[in-house]
Amino acid sequence: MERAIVHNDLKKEKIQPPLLMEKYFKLLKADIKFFFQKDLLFEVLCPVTGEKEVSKKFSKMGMQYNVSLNHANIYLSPRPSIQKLKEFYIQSEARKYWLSEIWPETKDIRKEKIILPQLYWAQGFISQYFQNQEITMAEYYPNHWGYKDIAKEVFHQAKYLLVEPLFDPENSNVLSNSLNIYEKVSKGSLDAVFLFEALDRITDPIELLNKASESLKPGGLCFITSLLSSGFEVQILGENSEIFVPPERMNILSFEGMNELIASVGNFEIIEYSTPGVFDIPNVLDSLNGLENYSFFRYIFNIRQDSEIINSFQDYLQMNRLGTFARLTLRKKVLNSN
Amino acid sequence: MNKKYKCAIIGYGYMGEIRHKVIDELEYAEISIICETDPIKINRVHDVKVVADYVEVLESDVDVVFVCTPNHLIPELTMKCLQKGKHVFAEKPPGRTLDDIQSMIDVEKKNPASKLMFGFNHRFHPGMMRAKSIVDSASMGRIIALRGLYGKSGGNNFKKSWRNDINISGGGILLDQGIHMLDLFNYFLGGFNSVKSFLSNFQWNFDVEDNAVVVLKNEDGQVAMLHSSATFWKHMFQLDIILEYGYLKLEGLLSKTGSYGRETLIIGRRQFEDESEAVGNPSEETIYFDKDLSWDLEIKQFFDCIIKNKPVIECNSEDAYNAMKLVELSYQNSDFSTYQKEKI
Repeated sequence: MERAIVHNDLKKEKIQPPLLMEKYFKLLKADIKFFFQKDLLFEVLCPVTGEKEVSKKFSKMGMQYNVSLNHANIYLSPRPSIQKLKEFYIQSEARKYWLSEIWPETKDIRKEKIILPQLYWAQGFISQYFQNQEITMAEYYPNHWGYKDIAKEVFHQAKYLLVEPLFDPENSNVLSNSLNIYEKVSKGSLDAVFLFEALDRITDPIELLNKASESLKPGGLCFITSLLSSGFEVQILGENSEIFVPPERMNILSFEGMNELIASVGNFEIIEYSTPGVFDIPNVLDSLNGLENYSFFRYIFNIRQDSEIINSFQDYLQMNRLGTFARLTLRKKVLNSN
Repeated sequence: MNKKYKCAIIGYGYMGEIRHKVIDELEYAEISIICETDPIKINRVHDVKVVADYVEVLESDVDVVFVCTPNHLIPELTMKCLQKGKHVFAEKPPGRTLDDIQSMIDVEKKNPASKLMFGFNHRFHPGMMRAKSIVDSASMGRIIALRGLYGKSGGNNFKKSWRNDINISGGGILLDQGIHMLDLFNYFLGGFNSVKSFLSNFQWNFDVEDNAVVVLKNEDGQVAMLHSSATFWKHMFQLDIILEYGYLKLEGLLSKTGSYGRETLIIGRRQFEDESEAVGNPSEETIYFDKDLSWDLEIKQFFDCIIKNKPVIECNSEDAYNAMKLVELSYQNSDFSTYQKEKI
């Protein structure tokens, strides 16, 4: 199983401008109150292991996260139904603000530092596994049109579908009839599937991965990006980590939890599993002074202040799959092949 | 797929054993004869008939023969097997000279039902396959240049090895190991029309070269450079692919012993157009590979051609000829070839 180390000079404030994010979170809190009233939510078991036991619970923006006893998967419970979640994504003021203000403001830097590198990452595998580049690919549950819009610069001959998008196509800045939107796709019809943080935001990740698998042809590829609860940032900051933004972060699986999710679907081979994120250390640094019992990290990050240490520590996290941001490439097994 | 192909291995050294292991994993093939004369190597064979005379292989009902012998035996054995209607997988190098591979091609043409493939397995290494797919996708533009380093340090029996006996091997480190890199150069750039070279036996003073530096250029102006060495004092593999919009760097090779280091592919994308602003240190992505499927993939591809009666597209006799041609030109263009001829 491959792994990658990625050096990227991406700065968090460039993709999440503090002033804009402040307003976004304010709107989000109000939206959560409006859309996710307690009596409309459902208690769930761990969405991967199905276990009831939790080691911990904590609250964010009025919603509750559980930490599963096995694997330490972190998940929202109670949570909304898929219909209610779609309603939120289409109608909420926070999402409208993100798409109309934050996306245009950060599009260029996101394109250069996040979206294009991820599409090139996928292209390396696609070019290796498919002789014919006239392939059909689909992105499941996207919450914006950015990948689809930029993909045409990378995949010139491919057909790129959006399946059950979590945004209103009429409000996108691209012609909605060019978005290729589908409610579902037929079995065995796709060469590649993209789940860009879709497992994080969807109500039933097992169902989604099964859908992805069913829609792929044998030998088809599934590209996943996701946040992991086993990553350095979450391990150090715990519930103080800023990654816990409901409902977008519905499921934050651990390294082991992700493995179990993939195993539960059964017909995927993991080709690559990497944690190539670059925000673990900056995010921990931002909150380090407020934490007790982390004098070692305060010493190496604050007192030494040696960029070599920080860079090599980030490399160490990536090399050992201990980062919070993960990317995976799965290949649907080809039966009866040698 | 009901047929189980009967296979023979001629020569049960390092490569013969590797081929045996791979074939044992296949549902549609089995080793039924091994031809070997060395008692130590014969002792490593279990549950398979061993013969000392290759004629027994030729006269047997095996469908496929793996020729895993030293270089001087490869052409004759390959040709005899082809003439007997066997499919042949031969190790590299394809003999000792360009005439050797040409003779094999002539026999191959007269026996079109038999498939012939050569063991340029480096094409099937995971890092190489990813690099090739990135180059083929054209996302980083055209290749400008290639730079290869491939070398090793002699082992305990280095001085006594048949590889350093020019009558058996036909050449030194360039023919033994450098030919892989030359094949990769051809794989990425499709051939060269200009070859310059310097060869030397400075360190070991054998009849064969212990260092070779080869510089190549094609009609489009794309250039390549190889340093093939038996004196790096560590096992080393490195291939840099310099493209219009970035570079790829392959380092290390997954191998049984791990002595070439971890197999990695570094991807760097060009960031600056204006050289005065360039920091010259772009963000890189390093991919670590941990599973070498090269042996399996090349053998499966060979059997796929046999089973489906398809032409051998990769690592075929033309590829072998083209790699051998670069080796031969490298020998011819250096004063070392005169020295070698005097020794033979």
